[in-house]
Amino acid sequence: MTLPRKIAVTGMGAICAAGASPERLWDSIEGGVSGLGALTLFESPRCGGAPVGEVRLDPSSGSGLPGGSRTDHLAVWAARQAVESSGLLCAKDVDAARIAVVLGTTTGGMIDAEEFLSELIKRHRLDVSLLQYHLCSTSCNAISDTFGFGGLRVTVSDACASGASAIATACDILAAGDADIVVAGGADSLTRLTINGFSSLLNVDPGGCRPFDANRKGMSLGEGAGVIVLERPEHAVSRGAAVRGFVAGCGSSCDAYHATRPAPDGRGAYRAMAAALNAAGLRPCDVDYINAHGTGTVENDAAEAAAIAELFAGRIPYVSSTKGYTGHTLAAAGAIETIICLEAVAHAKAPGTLGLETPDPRLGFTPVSANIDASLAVALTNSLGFGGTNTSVVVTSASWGGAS
Amino acid sequence: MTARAAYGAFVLSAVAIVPDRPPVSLPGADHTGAGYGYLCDIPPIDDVRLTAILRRAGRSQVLALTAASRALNMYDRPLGDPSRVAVTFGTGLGSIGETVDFLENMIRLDEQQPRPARFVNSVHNSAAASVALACGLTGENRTFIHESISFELALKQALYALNHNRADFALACGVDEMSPYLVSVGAARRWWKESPEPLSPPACDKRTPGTLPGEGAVAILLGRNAAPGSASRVAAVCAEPLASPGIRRIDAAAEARAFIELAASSGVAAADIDLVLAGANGDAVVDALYDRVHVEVESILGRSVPFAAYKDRCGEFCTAAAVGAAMAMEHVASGRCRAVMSIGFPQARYRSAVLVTT
Repeated sequence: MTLPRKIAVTGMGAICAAGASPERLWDSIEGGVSGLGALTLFESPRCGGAPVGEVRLDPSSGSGLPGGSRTDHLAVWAARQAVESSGLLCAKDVDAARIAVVLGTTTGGMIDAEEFLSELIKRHRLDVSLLQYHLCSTSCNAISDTFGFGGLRVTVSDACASGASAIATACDILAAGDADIVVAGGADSLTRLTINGFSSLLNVDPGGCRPFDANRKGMSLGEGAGVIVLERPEHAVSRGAAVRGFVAGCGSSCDAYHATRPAPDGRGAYRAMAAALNAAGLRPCDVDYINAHGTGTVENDAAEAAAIAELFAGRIPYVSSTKGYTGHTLAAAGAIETIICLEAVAHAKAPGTLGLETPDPRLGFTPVSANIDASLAVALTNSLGFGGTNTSVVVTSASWGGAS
Repeated sequence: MTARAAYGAFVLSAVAIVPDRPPVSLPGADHTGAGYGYLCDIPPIDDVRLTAILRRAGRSQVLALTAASRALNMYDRPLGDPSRVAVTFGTGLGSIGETVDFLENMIRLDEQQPRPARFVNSVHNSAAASVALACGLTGENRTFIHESISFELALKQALYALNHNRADFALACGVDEMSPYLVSVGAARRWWKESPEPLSPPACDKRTPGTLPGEGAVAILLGRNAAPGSASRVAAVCAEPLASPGIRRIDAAAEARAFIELAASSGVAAADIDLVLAGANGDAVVDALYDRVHVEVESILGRSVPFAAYKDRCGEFCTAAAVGAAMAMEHVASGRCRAVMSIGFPQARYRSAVLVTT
């Protein structure tokens, strides 16, 4: 069958430590302002003083949800912005039964499950009401229910690639004609589980993440949500929606190397990027900017850099990581960073890598340390997760006419 | 509106690891009561590739790896380029045992001695990643965790990967494990029967409320092309939200029509449907709904169509529909049926169907 090469992005929403909307997030990037700071959401001896990307405002204040987990509120907050900016709520001739929601999450309402277990262990009290919103699917359902969407409901969990994988599955759904519009993205809140888990793996930099730096020691955890509205270009045109850019292609792969460590040669990331470019009908030389997964862990950054150096040999595009602004928002990362790519091409600016002071000379290229004004038409974002799960998403500007 | 594409795939092998024995007594979580449910005997592992991974794996990973390796061995032909083999997983609760173990330890010891291996296993895609790692499958790898339609979504993704020409083969799996917490939480919510009565549907007047928890793993190897011995194919997969959720609000006549229309839109003649596998789970209200759908399906088709249940083999769990799908494939592959539809109303919120034909 013939697949559409481009899927239109007609709405965007984001909330994270660096901003509670795509515009505020971009303002933080333009101003070089990090959202990282001390953890205040809950007490965690394991976290110590390591900075996190915590959303400082109450996400329930803007979600409009009567109840829900913190992840639900973050997801609906971002979805509300995306849906409103897409003009869907006032659109005529749009069948709500054909609007699907695909959301990635890794822990969903885990923060509630932690409280449930604590009650049971410390007070011997089995309070199942605490589990009302703990399932990972509740965030996706909350978006569908809030806006009255009757189409498919899909929750993806590919570890840290979840948000990007959700966008990839959304494109599949549109290509198959299983929906006319898909609201897609990812959401995760900070939890004690993830703080303790990543810390126990010695993956957290106590001083804050320094992606691609020679002295990097690990990531900074974060939380947030990113949501975009996707539809076939002709559908967007027919309802008069403004196109913010395009998802030109997605690609996924698995390292099949180790449960947590990436293949050192970056072979999985290489194949995900190559598959995304192939799906987009583009060549490596067409890419102007790469928003790397760039967590700041020694192994991730080295493997990802190896993949980039090999695939883009001879013409390395601008490469940066924006996790110094947001922290690693896990399932939200792929969606938030897709939005950052769309903002980057729209503003003609490659974001710098906050925290990068001494570029690692072993990378094979020098990542962008400070924002650079540049004409950008095609951007690619990587999401690399536990289990060697990799997904890359290629986006283009709204006005981009095609490969030269 | 864009027309839906008719996606399908050939079934090359299907393996279900299910309890297949009467319900047994199960412990609940600490400080709570016990209950009953269907529990798998973990089968002996006969694949040396798996031993190193299994040593550290959680229960659902073990179940999934066993099913997946058997499905691959059953096909017994080279899969070619491993980057053209997709792995798609559905799981409702993932490695809940590993997750709870990590959290319990974290809470009891005030975060002093976290267990990294448990954290790694707790990640929802750990089973999918373990299968890829053990079997060297480097293609697209995706896990779905949407309640009781997780397996159907994984199967749908497998069809996307094959029909969008990203994969030549796809291993679609469903897995969920038993947990003391599931026993306790379900009991508190009055999901479970209080005695270990089998879930095979009894006469209407002897039905009781509730079901029993279970577990299992299913792996289905699908191909874009037919292979020698592939005698069945997946013609359609459906996992749609109901317009009016709620077990007592489901319109049996409308649902029967929807299932028949799904067959028609997939190019399967309604006359070929020889069997319907229903998600009946022993609960009086749930089973009565399937009775009504059965009547309506026969009314539409103007003939008798046998309905059969399958959850008496495995109990109720989020990805139990995978067992129904595997049974449907077995019925068609064996030549007993021309087409079989496995149907369900997961959580009374979704319409689910897997249509298998020759």
